Amino acid sequence: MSFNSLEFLIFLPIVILGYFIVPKKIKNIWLLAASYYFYMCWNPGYIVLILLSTIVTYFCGIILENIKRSDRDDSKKKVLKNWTLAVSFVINLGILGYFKYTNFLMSIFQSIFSALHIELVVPTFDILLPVGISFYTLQALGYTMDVYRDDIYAEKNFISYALFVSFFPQLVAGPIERSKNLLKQLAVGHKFQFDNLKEGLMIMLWGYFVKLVIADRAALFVDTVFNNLDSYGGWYIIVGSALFMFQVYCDFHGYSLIAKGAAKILGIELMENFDYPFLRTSVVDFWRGWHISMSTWFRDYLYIPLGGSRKGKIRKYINLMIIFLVSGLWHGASFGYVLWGGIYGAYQVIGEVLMPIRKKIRELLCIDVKAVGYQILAMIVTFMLSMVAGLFFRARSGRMGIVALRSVWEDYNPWILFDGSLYKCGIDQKNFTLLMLAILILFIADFCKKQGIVIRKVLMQQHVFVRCLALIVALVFILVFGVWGPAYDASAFIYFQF
Amino acid sequence: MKKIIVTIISYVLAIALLVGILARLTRVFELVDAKNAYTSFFDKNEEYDVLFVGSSKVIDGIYPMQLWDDYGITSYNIAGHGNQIPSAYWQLMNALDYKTPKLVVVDINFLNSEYKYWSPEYLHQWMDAFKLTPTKIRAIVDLMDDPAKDEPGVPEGYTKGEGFEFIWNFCKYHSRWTELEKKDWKVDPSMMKGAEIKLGLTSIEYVPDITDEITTDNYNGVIYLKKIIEECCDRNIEVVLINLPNETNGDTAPNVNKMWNIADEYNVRAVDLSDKCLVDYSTDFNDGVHLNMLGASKLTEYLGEYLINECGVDSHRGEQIEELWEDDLKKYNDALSEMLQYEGGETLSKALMMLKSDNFESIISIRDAGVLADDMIVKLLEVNGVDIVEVQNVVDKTGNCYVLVPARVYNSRTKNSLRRGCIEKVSYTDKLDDELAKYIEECSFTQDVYVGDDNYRFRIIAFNTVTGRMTVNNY
Repeated sequence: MSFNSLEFLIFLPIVILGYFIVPKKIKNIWLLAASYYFYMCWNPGYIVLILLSTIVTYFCGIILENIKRSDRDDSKKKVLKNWTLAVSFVINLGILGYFKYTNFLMSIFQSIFSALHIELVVPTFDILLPVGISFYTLQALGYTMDVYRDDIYAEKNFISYALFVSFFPQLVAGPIERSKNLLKQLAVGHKFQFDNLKEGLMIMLWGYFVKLVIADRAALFVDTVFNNLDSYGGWYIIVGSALFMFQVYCDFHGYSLIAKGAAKILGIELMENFDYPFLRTSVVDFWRGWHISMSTWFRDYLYIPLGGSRKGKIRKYINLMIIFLVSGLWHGASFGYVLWGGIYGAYQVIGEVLMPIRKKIRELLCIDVKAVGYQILAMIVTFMLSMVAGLFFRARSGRMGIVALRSVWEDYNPWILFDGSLYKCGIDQKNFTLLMLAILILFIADFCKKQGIVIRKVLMQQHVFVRCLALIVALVFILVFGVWGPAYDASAFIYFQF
Repeated sequence: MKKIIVTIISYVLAIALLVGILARLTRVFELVDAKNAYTSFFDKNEEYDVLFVGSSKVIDGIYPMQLWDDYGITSYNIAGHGNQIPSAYWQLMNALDYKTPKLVVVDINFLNSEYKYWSPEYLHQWMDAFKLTPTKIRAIVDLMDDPAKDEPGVPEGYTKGEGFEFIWNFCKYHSRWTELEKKDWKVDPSMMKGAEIKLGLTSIEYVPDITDEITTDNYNGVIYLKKIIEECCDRNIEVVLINLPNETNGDTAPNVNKMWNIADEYNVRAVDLSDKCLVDYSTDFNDGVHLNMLGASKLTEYLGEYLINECGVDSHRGEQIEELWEDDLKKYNDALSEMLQYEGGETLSKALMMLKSDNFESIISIRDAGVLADDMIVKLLEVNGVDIVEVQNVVDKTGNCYVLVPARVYNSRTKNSLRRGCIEKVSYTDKLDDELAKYIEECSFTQDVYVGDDNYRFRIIAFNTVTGRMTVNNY
């Protein structure tokens, strides 16, 4: 049941209505049942896995709390806590590893044995990846870490905890919530507030705009190019990589917004997951605005435990590389994703290493970093660096990423920007123009956000007539120009045969 | 309090405005083909004694307005493109919510098909015309449950649809914003009463298909044909099963055998129209399956006689509704005139076929007797009343022949021919100044008829007596 399906549009109002009708004691049970139903619509069997993850991390939390309160001495407590933490991590990461990385590991072994000229048939397994497993696993492990570190008390109410792990708006695509934020909100029942409804719907509307009008439209172009790298090289890949960045931003951001909006209606605040990333002026800054829930999770639960920047520069660089390589691997089981992460790690390390030189150059040239021209240039450079990394992400394998990159260098065809060739890559001229217009709207919205202007709050202050009109225009725009519904193909309507 | 009231009113108005906008957009964005084809069907003033049901073979093969013109029969062609028999069943059920005919003629094409519908696009061609009613919802639910499409070996083009696209077709058509044209903003009801006229020409070889094989009962085609008959019987509607002519394939005879079988079982009439020597397989087909204008006219004429003589369908000439139908007939003939225009570039066979229309008078100029060696050309000339022997004689004498072909309205019922235009009868001349000059003066043909370039073997100068448009085609 994806967010842009008819089933979800029927499911959500029923869940919301039910939530505000049922007594306070049953609200979480209602939401939990709805969340499990939502998850089972993807694949009923895999409810066992989310339940297992929930039970393991729930009891680990209880055990950690009990250890903390016990009379044992500190060293014993630490050992027991470490073992408990280890059990939680091993089981959850084991499940994640099995479903996500088994065939990847098998292919690595196959490659190693081939390189060593050892003939060995390595089996491949027909394993269906449970949807959302990467998200709820991190969320549950984050909770375990929070209890371990005494950041929060263990949640005794199993229903509340199970709901925290499986809360349907953010279950399949994030944001990866923190226990300190979400558990606290789930512990109390929420009353209906009209303002929450209005604001939640507006957030969802914006989410549907970026997802259906931008992401799914850009995908048509990107898929045409990247699925046919033999036919499309040079500037096709440059344009494709640029559009891919918008596709992945708007796809992820759209889903996060819809999740945030749906939760808002229920009275629950989810964290911001994207914060104008393409208006950032450095790679470090970019990651403050890109997939925030994931990047902060790895920062808090991997980077800092590894020592962060507290153990010298070299260790810091190693830690940076580790978290970016791991985050790349978290995205998918292929070297394309690993390379993507590695490239961002390298950017950060190189950026740090070159920082003194860059500062010196700016001083020598009297460059004001706050000047608009410098800011725009920095944004463009940051975006281009992201495009290079994104190319590997989209190519989905290291080899194809290198093929694509080489093609950019070798195939010289800038005329395609002017001779209409771009309109033959999955979308026609009108759709391409609409895509550019929609991206411009996105930039304007992100720029307003950067300046501290929250457009929906400005809208909420207008007269009800103006608000209604704006919402009608937005909704009609999405319905007409969004990529949704059964595909329309004019040629399929040529029906003269029968 | 005042603020709450204003807010509520604002939201109610906003919802109403949104619904209104979406309703209008739905109308604009949807393909108008279905609405154009079936709008006149829903006219409250019209009733139909006969409904024709089936696939595009019926759409192209039976002309309701010719049935009215020649026999006074009121009918509508509610066949659907690509209709498998289950989708034809539901099309009929939806139609019966609006009209109650005395007789339904059902084509048995796709009798041995397992599929309930061909593709969602084909379904849209008729479903889009019908309002959302309980019958339509039942149709959607039943047709979308097409398990045969989940089995391996589904032929190309047989695709699955989604039920919601038929409930609110905007979800299918909204991406048409890139191709909206003037015609999308206004329904232009067709005057053809559901029929379509094909002007192509493909010669096919008729191979009689005789076998003892019979299509079995387990096909959805058979199941739903029986449902059509049973439903019509319950409503006291007579049923006639028909098999239309087409290029013979291995399914034809077993399906026809099953048709006779079902007809016996339910005591309904059945006609195998492929067996009646009705059509000329060399000139009367648009392609291997669908009849063109020549073939459809012949088939319709036969059906008219059959319905009047065998089925007891009444002629409504002289009744109150005649005025309404005559008005429709005039609009139909006007539409036909507009449609049958030479655009230039028509093939010779198509050009000759179009001449058959009542509205054209023409001068055919033949300078190369070699064209008469083509059997199809000869047949098409003969269809237009041209005597090939006369032509051959004139060409042999002088190497040139002008044939004057009149426009005439021929009524097969009365067997009368009403002349239109200036040319009185088919006549032949090799001289430019003779009879030809007389007509050039009287009619609207210009001097360009015989002056100008001589670089042709065959020339058709056609004058549309209704629109006043004249075209010259050289071959």
